[in-house]
Amino acid sequence: MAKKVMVFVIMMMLLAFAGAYAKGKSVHPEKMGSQDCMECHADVTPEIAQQWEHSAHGFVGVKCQVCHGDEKNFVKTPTNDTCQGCHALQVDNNTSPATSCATCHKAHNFTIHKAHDYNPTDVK
Amino acid sequence: MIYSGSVVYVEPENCGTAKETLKKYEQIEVFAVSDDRKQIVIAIETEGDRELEDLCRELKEYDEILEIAHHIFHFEDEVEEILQGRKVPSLDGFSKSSRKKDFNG
Amino acid sequence: MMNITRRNFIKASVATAAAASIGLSVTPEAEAVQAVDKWVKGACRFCGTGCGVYVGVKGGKVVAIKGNPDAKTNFGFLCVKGFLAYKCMYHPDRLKAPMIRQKDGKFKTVSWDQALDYVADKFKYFHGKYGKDSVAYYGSGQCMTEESYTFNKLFKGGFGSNMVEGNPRLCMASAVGGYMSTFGSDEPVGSYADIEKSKCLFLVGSNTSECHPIIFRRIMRHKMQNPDVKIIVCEPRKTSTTKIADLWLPVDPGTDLAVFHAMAKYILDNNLHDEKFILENTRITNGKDVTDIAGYKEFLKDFTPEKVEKLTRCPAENIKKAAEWFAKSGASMSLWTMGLNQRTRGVWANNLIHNLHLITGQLFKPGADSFSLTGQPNACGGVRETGSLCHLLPGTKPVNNDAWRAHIEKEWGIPSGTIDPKPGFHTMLMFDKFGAENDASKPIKAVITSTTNPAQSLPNLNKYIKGMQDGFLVAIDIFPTRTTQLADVVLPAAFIYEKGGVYGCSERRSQLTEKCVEPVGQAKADIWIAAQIAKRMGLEKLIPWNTDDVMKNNEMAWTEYIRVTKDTDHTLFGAPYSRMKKEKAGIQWPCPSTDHPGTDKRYMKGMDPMFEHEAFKKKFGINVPADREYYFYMDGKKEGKANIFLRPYAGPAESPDADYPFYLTTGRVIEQWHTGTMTMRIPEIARAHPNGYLEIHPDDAKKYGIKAGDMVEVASKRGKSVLPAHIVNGTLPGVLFVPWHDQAMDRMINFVCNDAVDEGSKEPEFKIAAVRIKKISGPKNVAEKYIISDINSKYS
Repeated sequence: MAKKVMVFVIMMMLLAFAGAYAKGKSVHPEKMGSQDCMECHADVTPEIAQQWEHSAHGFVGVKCQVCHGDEKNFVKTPTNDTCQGCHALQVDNNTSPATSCATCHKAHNFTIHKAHDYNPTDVK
Repeated sequence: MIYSGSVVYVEPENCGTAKETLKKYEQIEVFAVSDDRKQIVIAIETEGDRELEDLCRELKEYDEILEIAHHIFHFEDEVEEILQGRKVPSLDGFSKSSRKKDFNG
Repeated sequence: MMNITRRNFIKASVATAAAASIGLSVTPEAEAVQAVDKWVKGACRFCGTGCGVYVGVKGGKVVAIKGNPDAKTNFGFLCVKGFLAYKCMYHPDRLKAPMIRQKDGKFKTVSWDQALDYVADKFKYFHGKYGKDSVAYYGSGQCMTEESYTFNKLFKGGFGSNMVEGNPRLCMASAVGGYMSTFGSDEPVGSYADIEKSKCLFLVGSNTSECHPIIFRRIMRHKMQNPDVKIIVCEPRKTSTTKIADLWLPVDPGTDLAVFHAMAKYILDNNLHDEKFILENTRITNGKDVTDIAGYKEFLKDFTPEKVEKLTRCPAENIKKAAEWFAKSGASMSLWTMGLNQRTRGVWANNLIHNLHLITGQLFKPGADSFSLTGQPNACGGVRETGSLCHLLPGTKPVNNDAWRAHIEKEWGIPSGTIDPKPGFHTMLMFDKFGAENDASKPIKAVITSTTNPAQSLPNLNKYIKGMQDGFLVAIDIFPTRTTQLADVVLPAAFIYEKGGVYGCSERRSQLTEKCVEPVGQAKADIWIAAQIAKRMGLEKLIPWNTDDVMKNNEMAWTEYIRVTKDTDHTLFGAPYSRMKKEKAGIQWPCPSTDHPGTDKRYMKGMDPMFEHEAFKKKFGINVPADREYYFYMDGKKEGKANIFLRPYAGPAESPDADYPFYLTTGRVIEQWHTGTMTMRIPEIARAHPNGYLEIHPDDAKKYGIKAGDMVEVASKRGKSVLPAHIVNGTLPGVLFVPWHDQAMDRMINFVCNDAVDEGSKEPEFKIAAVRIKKISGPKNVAEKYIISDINSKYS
C-alpha cells in the first residue's frame, strides 16, 4: 500500500513540475584553492569518502582526482574514456558502449570482495 | 535512479541530427529508429524525476525534436530510497506560485 | 547476452517496451568512438612494477594512455601516476633546445652541434690533462636499456674508465648485493605470479600500497579473495599498506635485523625449518667458515623474541606469530624495497630475508619467493643487467673478473687490456671527488648525468652541491631541475614515448616501448646524444648507432647487448627486437632462444633453461649434477648452493641520542615520484601532495607543543628542513617521516639524510637519520606546488 502511494507521488511530481537547469559541462561547485579533494569531502560527503575508503579504489589509492579531475577539468560522472585507462578490457567488452560505466559500477563502493564482507584491518 | 523508455518524435529529414543530439547526453541511450524515421526509441536514465523533467524540457528546445513521449518508467530504486527513509520526496513545484511560474514560462 | 548488468538490463527492457508500444523491435546500435589514431604498445614510465600500457596517439601527439590487459605485470591496471603523469611530456617547461651556461651565469641556447662539440672538447681536454678517470657518467634506472648500455660501453670500452654510476646505487645496490652473495646471481628466483599463489606475504621495508600500487592491487585482490592468506607488514610506520594486513611488526628504523634473526631462531627452535632443503641446497656460513644447523642455532641463541622486543620495540608475540605463519603457510613470499636497501646494513638485511626462505624451503614452490621490488622502471634491465655501475660489466658480472673482461673486450672489438680491472668510484665517492678543475683533491673534473637529479636526490646534499657547482656538469633531462641549476651544459632529452626502447622490471621481464611521436622542440634521445659524443671523440666505430632513426639505433644497441650477454644466466638472446615487438607482455630472462617462452622460476630443473645451456655452463665452468632438482649455478664454490649467512646484528649508522632524539625516515607518496620533476607538473597530482611535510606521532607533537600545520624544523648533524607538521597515529612515537618529492629548498629533506654507505653495496642510509625538532611558527601555507621552471634560476 505504502509503495503505491509513493509511486503516485513520483508520478505526480513527474507530471507536475519542472525546473530550469541548463545542461552543460560539469563544474565543480566550489573553489578548491590549494586543497586536496579529501580535505573537504571527508566532511561534506562523509558517506562517499567512507565508501571510497573501503573500496578497491580506496585500497590501492585511486583517489578522487584520478577520475574526477580537479576544478579545472572536473567531471561529475567520469566517462568511459577515464575507466578505460585501467579497465580497457572491460570497456572493450561493454555490451552497451553508449552507457557510462559508472552508471552500474559505482566506483565509490565497488569492491571485488563483497562476498567476504571484508573490512580494513586495524592491525595491532 | 529513474529509467524511462521513451519515444522521440521527429521529422524524417531531421532524424539523423536528432539522433546525434540525443547521443550527446550521457543519460540517454538510443536503441532504435522506426523505418519511417519519425520515431526514435531511447532509454533515459536520470538521478531523479526532477532531472528527467529538466532534461526533457531541454530536449524539446531543439528544433529537430518535436515531442518526447514516455512509455514506461522504471523507478524501483527511487521507491526503495523513499521507503527506507533515505530520501524525502520533494514537493516543490506543487505550490501555487511555482506552478504559476512554470506555466508562465 | 553474458556480461549484461542489471542497469543495462533495465534500460534495454524499458526501451524494448517503449519500442513495442509503437510496433518496433529493438537492436542496440553500437558505434565505437575512436578517439585516437593509434594505440602504441609500451611500458609505464614510473616505478619498477613494469606495467604494460598502450599509448594513444592522435595527430602526432600522445593524447591518452591505457593499461595493457595482456600484460603479465598489471593486467591492464594503472595507478594514478601511470594514468596521469605521462601528460607532463607536453608541459610548457619542457627543455626544447641545448644550452650552454655563459660567463654571466645565464644559459644561452645553442645548436646541437655547438653543444656536442663543446662537451666533447671539454671531455677531450680533461682526458688529456687529468687522465681517463677524470670524466664520469651518472645515469639512471629510468634510462632505456639501450641508453645505459651505450654510455657504459662508451666509458668502459671507449675511455677505458670505470667511472660509470647510476642512481640504482642509491636504491637497488643492496638488493643486488643480497642476491649475489646469497644466490650467486642478481635478481629474484620467482615472479609476480607467485603473489596470487602465496599463502603468506611478508611485506618488509616497503609501503607497497603507495610505492607499488599495482603490485599492491594484486596483493589486495589476492587477500580479498582468500581471507586466509596472511599479510604481515614489518615497518616503523603503520602505512596504508597495513590496511589489509593481519599483523604489523613495528620496528625502530635500522633494528629489524634482530627481528629477522628472532624469526629464524623461533623457526629453528620449534622445528619449523625444512632440514632436507637446508642440507641439499644451502651452506650455512659466516662468510668465512661453514657451519651446520646447530652452529646456526648457537649463533642465534641471544635473539630471543623477548630480548629483541627490548631492542627493536617489536612485540615478541608478533615476532613469534610472524615466524609461525611464515614457516607454516605452505607458500610464503617476501616483498621489500628501500626499507631494507637504503641502509648501511642493506646487504645484510637482504641476506637475512633470504635466510628465512632458505631455512623453511620457501623457494621454488608456487607462491614462495624472496622478492625485491625495484623502485625505478629500468633499474634491473637497464643498469643491473647491462652492468652500468662502476664495478660491473654487461651481464651483471664484476669488472675485476679477468675472464669476463676479456670476453667483453673481444665482443666489443677493443684491444685486450682496454677495460680497467679496477672498479671506479661508487656514487657517493664520485660526487665527493667531483669538483673544480683547480682543486687537486677532486680528481673528477666532469660528470654527465642522464635522467636523474642528484642535486636533489643525493643524501647529505650540503656536502656535494659545491662539487657539482664547481665541476663541469652536463645534465641531460626533460625539465629544469635542481641539477640543471648547477649544470654547465643542459641537453634536452626525449621522453620515453618520443624515443622508445626496452625497460626491464623487477621480475626479470623486459618490455619494448615503441616510439610513439616525435620529440618536442629539438629534444633528442639520450642514445643519440651518447653516440654523437662518441663520434666527436673518435669512437664512432665503438658506438656505430648514431643515425637519426632512433628505433634503429635502439635496435642496433639491443642486438649487440643480447649478443654480448648471450651465454650468461641473464641471457635475452631469444628476445631480439623482431620478437619484442610482437610479445604483448615482454619476456622474462633467461630466454636463450627465440622459441623459448621465458623463465618464471630460476634454478629449477625443468623450469630454468640454463640447466641445459651448454655454452653457458662451459663458459662459467658449471656442472649440474643430474640428481639436483634445484641448483644455484652461479654459486662461487661450484656446489650449486645458496648461502645462509650468519650476519651479526648491527644497528643503523646513526641512532637517536640526547641531542638528536628522533629517528627520521623518508619515502614516497602515491602521487609523487622521486624529485617531483614530472609528477609535480600534473595539477591533479600536485594538489594531492603540494608540499613536503613532517609526520609526527601525537605524543611527540604534544611534548613539543606542536599542533597540526605548525612549521617544524627538522635538523640532523648535516642539515635541516622546515616543514608543516602532520600529526598521525600511524608512526611509532619517536619516529618521524618526510616524503622527499618537494623541490623547495626549505623542504628538500635530503639535506638532512645520512650519506653513510653500506660497506658491501655502497648504498647510502637514506632511510635512517637521527634528528631533533623545533617548532618554528604556527601554520603557514606552503602548499605552493613548487617547481623549478626557470632554467636560469639559482640553486637556492
